[in-house]
Amino acid sequence: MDTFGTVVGKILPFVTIAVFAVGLWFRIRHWRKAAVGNMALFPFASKSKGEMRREVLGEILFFTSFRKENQLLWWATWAFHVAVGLIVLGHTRLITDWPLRGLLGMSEGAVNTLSATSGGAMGILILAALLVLFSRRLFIGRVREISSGEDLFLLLLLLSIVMTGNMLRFQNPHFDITVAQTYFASLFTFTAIQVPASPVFLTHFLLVQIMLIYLPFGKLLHIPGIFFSRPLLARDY
Amino acid sequence: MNAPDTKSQPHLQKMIEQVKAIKTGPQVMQLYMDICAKCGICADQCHVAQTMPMKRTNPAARSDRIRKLYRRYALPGGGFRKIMGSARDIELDELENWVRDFYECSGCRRCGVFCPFGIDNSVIARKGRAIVHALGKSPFMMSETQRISDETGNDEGQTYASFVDACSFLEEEVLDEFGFEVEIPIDKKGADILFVPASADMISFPETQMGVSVFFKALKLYDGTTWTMSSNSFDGANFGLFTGDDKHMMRKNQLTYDACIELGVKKLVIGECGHAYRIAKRMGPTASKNNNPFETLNIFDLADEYLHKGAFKFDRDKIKKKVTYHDPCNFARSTGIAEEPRRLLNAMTGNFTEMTPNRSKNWCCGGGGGLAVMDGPEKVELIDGTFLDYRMRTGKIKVDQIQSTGADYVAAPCANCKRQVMQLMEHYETGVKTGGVFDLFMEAIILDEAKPDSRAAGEPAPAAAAKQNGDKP
Repeated sequence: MDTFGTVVGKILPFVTIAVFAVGLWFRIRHWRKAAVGNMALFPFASKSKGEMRREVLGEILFFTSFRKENQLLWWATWAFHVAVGLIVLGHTRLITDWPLRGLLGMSEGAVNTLSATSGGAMGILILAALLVLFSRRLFIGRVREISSGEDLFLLLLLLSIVMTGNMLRFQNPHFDITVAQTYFASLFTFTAIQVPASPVFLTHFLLVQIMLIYLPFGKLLHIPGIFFSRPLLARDY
Repeated sequence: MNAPDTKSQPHLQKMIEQVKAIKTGPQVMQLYMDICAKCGICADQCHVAQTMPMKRTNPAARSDRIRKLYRRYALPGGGFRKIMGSARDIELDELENWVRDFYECSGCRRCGVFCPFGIDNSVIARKGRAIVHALGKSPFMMSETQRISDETGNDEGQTYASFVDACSFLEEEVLDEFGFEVEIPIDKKGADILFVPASADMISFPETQMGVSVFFKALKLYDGTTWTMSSNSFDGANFGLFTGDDKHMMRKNQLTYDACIELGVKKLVIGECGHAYRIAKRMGPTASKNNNPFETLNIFDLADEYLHKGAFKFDRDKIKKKVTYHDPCNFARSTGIAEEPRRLLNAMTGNFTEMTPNRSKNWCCGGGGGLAVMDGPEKVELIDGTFLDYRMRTGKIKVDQIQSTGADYVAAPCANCKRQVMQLMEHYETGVKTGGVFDLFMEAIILDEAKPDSRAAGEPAPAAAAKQNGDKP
């Protein structure tokens, strides 16, 4: 357990940050450097710039392109992505809860209640959404035929992350968040890193790091990619 | 499976090089190679995937043909990606598969409308076709049409004499059938407008060209606007878009540009041909972004402008048949022309009915991407049956869509759509007639040649008198 903790908690985080940041930077720089090209794309940008901007924003926030045509998928993906967003936001508390306490003036008890309720709800929601997406990939022929090992790998990885995360949230006695806060504070200041001993925490943390390392090299590039591909369609001719 | 020995297969080696070159190409391809999340939405929205349900017709799978090779050979970690299943080795029959698969996509871009990332699979298919073309494997009719076009300046291989003959024949036809005396002017310097249709309109669908000449007569009667056609560029159709051969595409559009300059026109007006307009307006030397000394627009833009001014008088009861409108992909999806033809149709007839879905969500007729002109196997090795079989099969959705409107006439303002829909209507024995929008213009228009406020001074009356020759300069 000691070696596992050292690797996951003391060595890997620096590798993760480096690979994630450098990999993503290279990818985005590559996109940015490429010439826009001459190909007329769909849809025709006949609207005003403001309208097109609103359309791009609507697409990124609400996935408007297929909302009417594929409602099950829309609900599952939208719930999934909203949950991811809120969960990432919630995890900032591991580093600082200043926005909640300092900015909004919430008491420590109130912050705990908020993260227990909304964090718990999002943990359940994302699990349900992932299960819908997973079964879709397994049981709908047209989706299965375009699925590769990568798709299954990522779904299983996300499911494992969510399940270990939910264990940390719902286990009794509750995982002590201050241990994690102390750990991250020490990690970022390079001072006497104290890796939490909880095997569930370490597993969760390892899986998240695997995902971050993989992100610049696979289909997760759709996250930064949409901020390029959608505006590309809205460009003015 | 082990990778085939590409060293002994120079064409496979070339394919790999071309796929690698995507990495230094346009941004849009880089993004499309990287960001597909394999959600599968496109398969539900593709007429080919729906009517021929198999893996290779799934738009995401078709695009993966290039994508997986790109990740294997152009990106770092190709071996690891192969283990993950997001990359694969080139196969021995790769090129043969490409020809079939990329010509099974009609490039209608309906999938792109519903894709959350806006991935336009036709861009990927066109890249595939370009690589196929560079290796000399384009279907016979595609390369043959390009060859004829390069030789004669038009896809039909018409000579100057046959073009002039066709124009005077159509003038006579309009006079005989509708009693309008029209002129199709050729190479008239200083005209306001250069009109460029698809040359198929001169031969296969003459009613459209006839209707257009009546339309221009109406403009002349209204405010004296003059038009001309060019014997050097009377064909806006451009197979370079279909084969991915950019050089051919630019070369052909350059003919139109040169004609505009030579004749000194103020406006270049493209006829009922979606892809011709897409190239003229947005891609070639005549594109609006180039700040040319002339304006590039479509005949529907022009008609809409004059309709708004109240330039036309129609007998709305003249057309008895029920009319529906098919949105060609390159109008509704690529150039934003959807409302203009509808306003015109509604002005011409009270019998207009919509088909659903429509506008940018309309189903492809199945003849897009140049498929409409291919009937035989076209020297494509792995194709099942012929292109005609394929088109009749994949056009089934269009047939159902048209039949559920109960219409007697489908207005499809695109030479490819016209041919495909016409063949579909025959094949499925629907009895529905197919034609253009301007075919109807000629039926419904009332030409008031005695109009007092007409600025075309010296224009003799009356409208019905066919023997008048007021249209002659």
